[in-house]
Amino acid sequence: MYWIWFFIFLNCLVALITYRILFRKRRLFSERYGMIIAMTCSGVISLIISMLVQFTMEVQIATFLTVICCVIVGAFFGALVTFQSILAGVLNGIVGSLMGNMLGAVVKDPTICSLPVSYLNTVEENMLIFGVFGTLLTCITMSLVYFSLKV
Amino acid sequence: MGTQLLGYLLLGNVLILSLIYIYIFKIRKLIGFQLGMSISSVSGGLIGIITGVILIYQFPLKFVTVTIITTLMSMFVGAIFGALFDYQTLLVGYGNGVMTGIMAPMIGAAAKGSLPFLLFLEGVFLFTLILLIISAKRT
Repeated sequence: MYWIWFFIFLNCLVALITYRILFRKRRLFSERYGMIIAMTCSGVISLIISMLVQFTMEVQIATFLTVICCVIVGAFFGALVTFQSILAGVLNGIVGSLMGNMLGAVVKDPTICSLPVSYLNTVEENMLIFGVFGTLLTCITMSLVYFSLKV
Repeated sequence: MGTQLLGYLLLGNVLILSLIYIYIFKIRKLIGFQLGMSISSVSGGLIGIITGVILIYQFPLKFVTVTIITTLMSMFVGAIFGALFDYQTLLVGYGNGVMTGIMAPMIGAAAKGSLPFLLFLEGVFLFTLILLIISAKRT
């Protein structure tokens, strides 16, 4: 189960690099662009990270921790350009982290959603597939955001 | 309920959405970016929910594959609807598509294959598309 921490570290690294690049060029942005960056980045990052954290801990503790962390992440991304887009970032952080916790809980215990019992044999394999898919999703999103700086 | 029928339903939804894409492609110069953001997020989210629910009704044994296919499809639809207007509307449609596409198969699995829920979703889909056409025509 230690490879989950590797995925979490990778996602946090990608998010930090993106935040650093955006922070250097924050004088160039308009207000609308800042709001869109806050919505997209905080939503996708909080979704993937809270799904991965949910795999490692119990349900209640992980939900508590990730919602608080993702509100802070959304506020940081929202406060890049003006303070008006903090609300959009915080809202998308809350929605994304709750949805990621739901997905993680369903993958960990498939009988919550009344899925067939045969999933209980392949829980670790499903965790691995979702981890790889989530990391790919984060990388695609961040490359789209990086590409949008040049358009 | 027949499995074939659900597949045709999904095909019909995709066809309706592509007709609306052609219609909006013709009048895209008249639509401002505010309405463009709404159009891209609405179309990506709705086709994500419909696709996820129908596919998980058909293949309840393949949850992982269905989730991945639904996420890719709703990402793609939101992105091509957003690409009509601007690069920033593309980002909005993409983000909304990711979140809705990941959530949709769980809703379908929790509904346990009930037919009235699917009919309700179809009603919401058609009603929202009619609203979309009206608001695109009146700008």
